[in-house]
Amino acid sequence: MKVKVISRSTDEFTRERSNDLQRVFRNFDPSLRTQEKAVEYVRALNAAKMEKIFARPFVGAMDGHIDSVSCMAKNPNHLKGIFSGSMDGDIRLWDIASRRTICQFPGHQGAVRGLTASTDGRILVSCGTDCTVRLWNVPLATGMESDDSSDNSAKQLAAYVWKNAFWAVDHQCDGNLFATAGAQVDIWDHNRSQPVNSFEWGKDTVISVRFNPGEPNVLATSASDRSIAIYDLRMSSPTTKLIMRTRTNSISWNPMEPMNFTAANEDCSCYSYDARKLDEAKCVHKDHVSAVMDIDYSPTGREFVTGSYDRTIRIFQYNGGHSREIYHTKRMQRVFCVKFSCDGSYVISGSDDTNLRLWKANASEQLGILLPRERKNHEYREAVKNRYKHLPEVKRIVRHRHLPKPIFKASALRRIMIDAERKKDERRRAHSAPGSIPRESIRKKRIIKEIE
Amino acid sequence: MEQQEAMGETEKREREKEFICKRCKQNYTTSSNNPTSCRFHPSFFVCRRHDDQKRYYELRPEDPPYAAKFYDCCGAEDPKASGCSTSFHVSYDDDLNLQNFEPVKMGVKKEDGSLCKIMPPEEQEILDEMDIKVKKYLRGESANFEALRDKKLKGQLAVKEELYGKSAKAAAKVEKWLMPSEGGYLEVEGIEKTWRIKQEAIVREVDISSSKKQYDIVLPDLGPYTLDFTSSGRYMAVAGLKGHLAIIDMMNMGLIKELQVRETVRDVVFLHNELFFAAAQKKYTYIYNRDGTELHCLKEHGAVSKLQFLKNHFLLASINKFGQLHYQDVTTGLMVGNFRTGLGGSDVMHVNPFNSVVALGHSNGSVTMWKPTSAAPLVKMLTHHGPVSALSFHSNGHLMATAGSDRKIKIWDLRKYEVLQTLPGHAKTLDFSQKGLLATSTGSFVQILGDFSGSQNYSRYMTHSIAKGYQIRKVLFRPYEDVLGLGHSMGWSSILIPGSGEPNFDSWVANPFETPKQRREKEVRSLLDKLPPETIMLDPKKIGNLRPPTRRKEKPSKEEREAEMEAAVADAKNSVSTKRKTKGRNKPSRRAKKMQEVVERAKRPFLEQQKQEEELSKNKKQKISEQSELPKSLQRFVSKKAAS
Repeated sequence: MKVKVISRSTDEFTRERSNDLQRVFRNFDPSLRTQEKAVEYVRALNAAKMEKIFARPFVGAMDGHIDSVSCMAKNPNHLKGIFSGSMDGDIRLWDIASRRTICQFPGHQGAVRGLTASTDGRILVSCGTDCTVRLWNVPLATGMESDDSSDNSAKQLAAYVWKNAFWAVDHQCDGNLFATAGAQVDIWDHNRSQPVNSFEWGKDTVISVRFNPGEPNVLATSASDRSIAIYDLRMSSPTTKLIMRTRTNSISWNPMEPMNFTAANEDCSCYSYDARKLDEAKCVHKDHVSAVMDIDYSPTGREFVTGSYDRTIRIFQYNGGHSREIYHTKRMQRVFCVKFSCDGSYVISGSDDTNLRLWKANASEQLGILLPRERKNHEYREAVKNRYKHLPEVKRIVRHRHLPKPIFKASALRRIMIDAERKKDERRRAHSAPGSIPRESIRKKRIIKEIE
Repeated sequence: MEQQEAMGETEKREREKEFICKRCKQNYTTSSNNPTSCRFHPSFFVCRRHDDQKRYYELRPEDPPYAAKFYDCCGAEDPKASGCSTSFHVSYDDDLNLQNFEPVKMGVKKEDGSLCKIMPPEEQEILDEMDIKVKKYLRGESANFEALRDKKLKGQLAVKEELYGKSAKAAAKVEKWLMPSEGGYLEVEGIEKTWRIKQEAIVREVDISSSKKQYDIVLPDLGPYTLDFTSSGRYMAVAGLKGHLAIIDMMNMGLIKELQVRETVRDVVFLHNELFFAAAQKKYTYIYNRDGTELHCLKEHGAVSKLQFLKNHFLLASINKFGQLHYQDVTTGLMVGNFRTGLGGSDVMHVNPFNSVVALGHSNGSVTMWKPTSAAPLVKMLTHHGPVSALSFHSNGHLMATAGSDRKIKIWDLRKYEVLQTLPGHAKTLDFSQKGLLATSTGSFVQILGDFSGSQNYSRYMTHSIAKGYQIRKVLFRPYEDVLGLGHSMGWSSILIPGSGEPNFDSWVANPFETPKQRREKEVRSLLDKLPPETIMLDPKKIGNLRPPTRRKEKPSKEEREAEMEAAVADAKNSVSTKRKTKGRNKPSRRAKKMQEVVERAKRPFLEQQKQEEELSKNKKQKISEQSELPKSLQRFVSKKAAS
């Protein structure tokens, strides 16, 4: 007879000294953990609730301007600096970490409409309604935080006066050209007091301009004649033009897929296009209830942020039809400009109420350094939530956002209007000869024509 | 001459054609290579504790702890010890790695000429074992993607499936290191039978600490006793029918608290940890803490005969002598469910650990299964002719054992609700162990049944008789130990059943060596993961799955309905018996009348249904017309009473 029974000696299974760690034994046998799926579901539910509890996206406001903020620019070489220009001609450089003005750039007589920094981050270009383009030397990052009382205004390098007021400016991502938009598109060099090149296509004002991040010679503009035009600096004439039903306020290229760009439109939606194939939008991003004023892509290219005239900021997936996040506060007025920070973890908005606001890109993200156990826990929560995101209860909690009453009402109204329009269309189709009214996809509907 | 020289060279080369074996580092020639020529260790010389947690090598005081090295395969501690396995030599030229070597010679030529791979026996065994282990962690078959039309979804699911496979394989691989303890066993030689081996013989063989686990406590005054273990098996609560309650730490056999409630105690059960326990007393159920302080008196339960605790849901389930089943949430005190079984009082109740469904055995021989969110039983099955006397569930949830007064013990497959096996014999109480042994007992006799063929065919494994005249009230296996606890009329005892318990515990699931701090942490964690009562269902894996598409029942058309009615009428007409009646009762008028009655009766349900539907549609129309009477802008001024 051979016999063995389970026998555990206490000192094999407990710690020897009191400052040792407790010994942990694992057995991953599924039969020891009953109702695993139910437990996981409850954890997913808790994770979804916890995410809601910890969703505190607003980090802080940066006040200092005395008129509404009209434009912002990121410094590609300095993570925590951001430039902002306001309607009274004031340009400021902010330190995001301390949320204070580092320096001011006085000089503009009228509103500043466009701001951009050169690729190396040394030179800031601004333009405005006073028909000037001004180049500024950006103070170095070190020793900036010294004192804000003495000499915090920078000297300008150059000021070029031109024939018309400017609406926007953007710097080439690799090179020393920049483009301004106004009555026409002008291409400037840092060292020349006159544009090196000018493009004109139609008589209407060009209101935004953005260089392609991948191909430095390509730029996209939008004009008040409801057009989006793509120019190539190597050619003497513009390449493509697309006319939509409503005006496009701003354009942003996807930094990871540089052939794609997204246009922020007056009709409350954003349209993602492939620059090579403009007859159809790749995706329509709907949710805003008023004109979208500005748009900026995250450096990851997976999501973008939009600011709207309805006083909210929304974050969209690059391929998602609806926003994943909406930010609003009582004091925030019409949003004129938004930017993703260069590390993709913050969003900065400038609005009519003269403030810049700093938001977290991921509302429930924990700031500061995470311990490995904390990080693991976050990852686990994210994973279970992702696994059970289709279940109604989890889905409801994850999707729910509190909306301000005007937005809620406006979105309900919009829904009714869209439904009515659709219904009318259907009826019209039902009462006309079959095939006489073709069905048009929503991605094509808002496009009038494309001109080569 | 030159030719001769050349010949000599080739001879030399042939003679020199000796290889060095890459395992045993010996020289060999191909001709002398046979299956026993290479002695080697299939595993490495390692530095870790032996499987049974003993070091073969006694450490001297000045030795570092890693000095205890040994071969992982055979346990030899000398690094130069000759190999424990033999096989063919393998040279460095043979382009085979050590892990998976298979000399060409070992292949077996099949009849069709192809060479079929044959692994050395140990390797094959290892692979087979691995497969079994992986299967355990896979939690079922993978989904069938063939039917899917969505390519994107198919891809995503395939990636997921691959991940599951990987994690299962990883879990199976680390089992060797994570789960060092081996389960108990009892092996016999020759004509010995396992059920003839006495407890005394086992106690003589096992180590001292294990032999202490076999004991009898005789308390003749306050019995018969019932008992309960915590989920880690560390603590035991005992309750004597005449009011004796006690909690015992089984690790050091220390009595933690003992109290005498001076009234009948029918059952005792631990709540989520050893700090709280509930006792079903004469009139009410009480919750005590481990100091013996009465915390709650649960009056709503009535005179409870049996208690069970659902530890995932924090629900205390009770059945009282009127056959009422109560579920009470012990964290909030909320009465989650209160159902009348309608089958009379019962003291046979057991929770299925797999899905937390409560099963009740009734005196009419039926077993009903309940969940707290439905007033009707989920399952009602007739198990015995005569009262059900005991009931227990296997931990995998697929097996149920019932015992009835009809002298039968039945083992049921709960997936099909069919009897797998019927064994003769009485059983007052039944219990399944973690490893699937089934303890049955009647009078003073305990029998352990085991499933050794792997085909759910339970046969006798061990037997034990306590002193004659003692009546066993409850048998309960101690979790994570090879111990069976017996509560009987003269106290309680504990016997050794090798191979009954799970040898490896998980510190995060149930830890017998839990410290107070760990206990506190676990309490918080389990409260966070507390399941809502709705998650109790027969198939707990259904959560998160899609409901299969149900076809909407179409309304039968008018013609179909009429045809149905006619068929029913024809049936009814045929069924009228044309038996000859006594005089005066067989008039044609009466027969006609009777026929008419039958036809009317057959028609009635169809006509009633029709009428009902008409009424319903009429109501609907009326409602619509009422609303449309006024223009929309004025409808809100209509008084609500008038509208309804």
